Amino acid sequence: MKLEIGNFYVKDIVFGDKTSYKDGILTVNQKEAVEALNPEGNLKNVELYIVRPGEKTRILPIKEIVEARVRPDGRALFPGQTGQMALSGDGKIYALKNMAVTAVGVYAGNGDGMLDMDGPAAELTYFSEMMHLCFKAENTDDSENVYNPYKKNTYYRLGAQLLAEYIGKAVLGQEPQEWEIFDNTTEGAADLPRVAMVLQISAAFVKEPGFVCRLYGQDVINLVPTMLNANELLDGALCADTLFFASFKLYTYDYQNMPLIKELYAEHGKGLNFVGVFLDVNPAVADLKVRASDRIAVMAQMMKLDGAVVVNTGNGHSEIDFFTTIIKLEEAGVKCVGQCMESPGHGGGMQSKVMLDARADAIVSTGADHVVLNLPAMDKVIGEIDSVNHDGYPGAWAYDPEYGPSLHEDGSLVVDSLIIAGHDGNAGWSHKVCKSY
Amino acid sequence: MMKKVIMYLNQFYGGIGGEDKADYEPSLLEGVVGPSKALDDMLTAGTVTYTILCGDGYMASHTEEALEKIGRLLEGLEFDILAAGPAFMSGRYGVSCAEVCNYVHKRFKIPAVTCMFEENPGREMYPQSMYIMAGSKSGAGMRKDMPKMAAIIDKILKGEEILWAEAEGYFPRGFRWQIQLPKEQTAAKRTVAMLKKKLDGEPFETELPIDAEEMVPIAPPRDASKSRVAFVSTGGLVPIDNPDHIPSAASTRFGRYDLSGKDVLKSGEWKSVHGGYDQTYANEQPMLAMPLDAIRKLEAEGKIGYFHPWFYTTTGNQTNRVNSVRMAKEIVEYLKADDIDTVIFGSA
Repeated sequence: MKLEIGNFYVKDIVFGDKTSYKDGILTVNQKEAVEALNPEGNLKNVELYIVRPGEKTRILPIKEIVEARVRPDGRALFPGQTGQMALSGDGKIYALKNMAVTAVGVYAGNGDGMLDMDGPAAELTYFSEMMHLCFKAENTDDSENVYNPYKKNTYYRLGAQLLAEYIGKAVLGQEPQEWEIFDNTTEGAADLPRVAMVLQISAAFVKEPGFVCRLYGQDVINLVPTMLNANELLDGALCADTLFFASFKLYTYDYQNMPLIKELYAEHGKGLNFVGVFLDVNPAVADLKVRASDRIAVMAQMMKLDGAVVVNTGNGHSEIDFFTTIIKLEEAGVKCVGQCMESPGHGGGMQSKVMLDARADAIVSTGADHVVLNLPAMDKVIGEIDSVNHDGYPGAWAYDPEYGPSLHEDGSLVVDSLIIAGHDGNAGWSHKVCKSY
Repeated sequence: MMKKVIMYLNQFYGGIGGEDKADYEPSLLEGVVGPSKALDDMLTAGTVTYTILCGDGYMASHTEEALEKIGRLLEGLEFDILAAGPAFMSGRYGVSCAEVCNYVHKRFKIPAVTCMFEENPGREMYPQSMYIMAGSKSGAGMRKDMPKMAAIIDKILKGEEILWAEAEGYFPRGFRWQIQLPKEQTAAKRTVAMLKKKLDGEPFETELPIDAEEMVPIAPPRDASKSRVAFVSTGGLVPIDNPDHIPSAASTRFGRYDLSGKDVLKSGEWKSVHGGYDQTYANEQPMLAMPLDAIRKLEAEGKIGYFHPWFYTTTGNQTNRVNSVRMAKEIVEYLKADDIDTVIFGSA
């Protein structure tokens, strides 16, 4: 497969009469944009906001973050999800850089996050370094307009994906400022060590579909580990879940821009032969964990892998899948490097992972996922600040004997970094690492 | 203003004598002797005001009394830090240094620094109570070890940030904390670079060193009909109004709820607050998380000797080991008071 991503850099976003892109300025017609993201009226009170890095703005609860893109040949941006099924990963696609399309609600749940565009939290995530075209909305159906931690956020997620596709159309007919080429037919790779990325996705956990990742628009709740061309992943085959916590989850934006894939591509044909991506899952049942890691090891042998990068994106029991997969791959003769966040707790004194096994002898740490943050009030809130008063987020609380409530009267916050969207940088962005003290 | 350092030495380095003086009881010397003089000469932010002397044999055979005596000797003195050793590969001296550092750190709430060889048994006793500098195997290394102690003591006294273990030269104390690398050193770059090294057979260094785990032996089987049984769970089942605010993740507290007179747990009266599994089943049928009906049946049939009337519950999801161990110890106190000898441990 050969994927060519044509990049258009966005210097600023403004609202105006006609959705268009000229001289780096993206103009958005609000009425059309709202219609595009909410075609069937499943959302209500939809409002658009433009947020820039450095502004004293807090965004929460964030449901989904997507890069605005379009396919000049008319295929859906997220095949099977925003339009008809069509294989992704091959051909040309246009992307709008320096910005993301971001869905914001009112009621928070498990998978929801927060971004500060200024102050100490803004230095902790790459998502604070880009502009956001946000929409804030509520569900028309009131069943999720409550503080239950488990929300499907179906129409927020779809809305962000549809809005990303609508915004992408603004650049149609223009020439991109640069091209990124992802070609895995590169000559000269055949004799090099065969390497795959094993990527854990949010695939299990609840009995009902609707919460986990979507592969070509289909819920992956019963997915058996499978194999993708890395280009498919960069090109909209996979959409984010709404279960994993904001700090460590991968948003759809992360799959579209995954630094680990880009880094493996950079070595493809030079030091490595990057053969593709295995999707690993995190079932709640022990037998299914065994089955999943067995499948990965069998696929690795069938693909004659020499090495693998194994990526942990969920914590708790998902760490068992991470270590079990590494152990089985190593036993099958595949040399592994794992990449994971650590959970040493607020004092730093707890065991870093639920499971630790010395057979995983090569691990890259993306940092700690439980850091207490004292954050100043912001001038502006996009979304609903009261959402932190309802224990809906894993990283904020209405009551805590040690820290008091997360939200103080002056608007300042004490939160756990679990609430910060992209804090752990598990797609490979992280420049943090844990050290032994 | 120079800060005050007190140093602990054994009978040999304190100039009292050799093995024949190993039973020497703790004493306090105003000023310095041998290694404490060397340390005093090297320090820039502190001065060694007193030296504690004690025989290794006495510390080993009368640990509690020796520590208590040292505590009394230090009572009323002003000091900012305790130094001990270096102990090299001497097992008794290393253990003594660790005991004294731990005791003085806890009693006087001041930092403590020692130094020993990595295989010294004193190294792993109380890692979080002190900094143990990685030291030489034998006394011939005194000239190498003492500057290491002086350097970290000066840093602590000046209030400078103490970097991670490898950077400072101390043994890891059981803490993990994150630092920020230069922005271009992304996890993606580090991961692929490490993989290339591993594939090429070159040396590489993991960023998460993993030691063998501490295992707790499983209790032997016993006769349930003669047992006094309690039920403890990390499954997150709580009364419907969650009166103790048990959190959905990273719990620091547990709830204790009275089951007297109850034969079942009813839907609508109990719920799960656990954030790590689908709560629907437990909310519909709380006894999936706490099988009171089955326990009552076994009790009525005499298959359980006695059932403790309280149910202990917290959330295991993301709850750290330190808090887990502490909560377990607190729960055990309640259980001991009712002579409980068997616990059914439920999870999510």
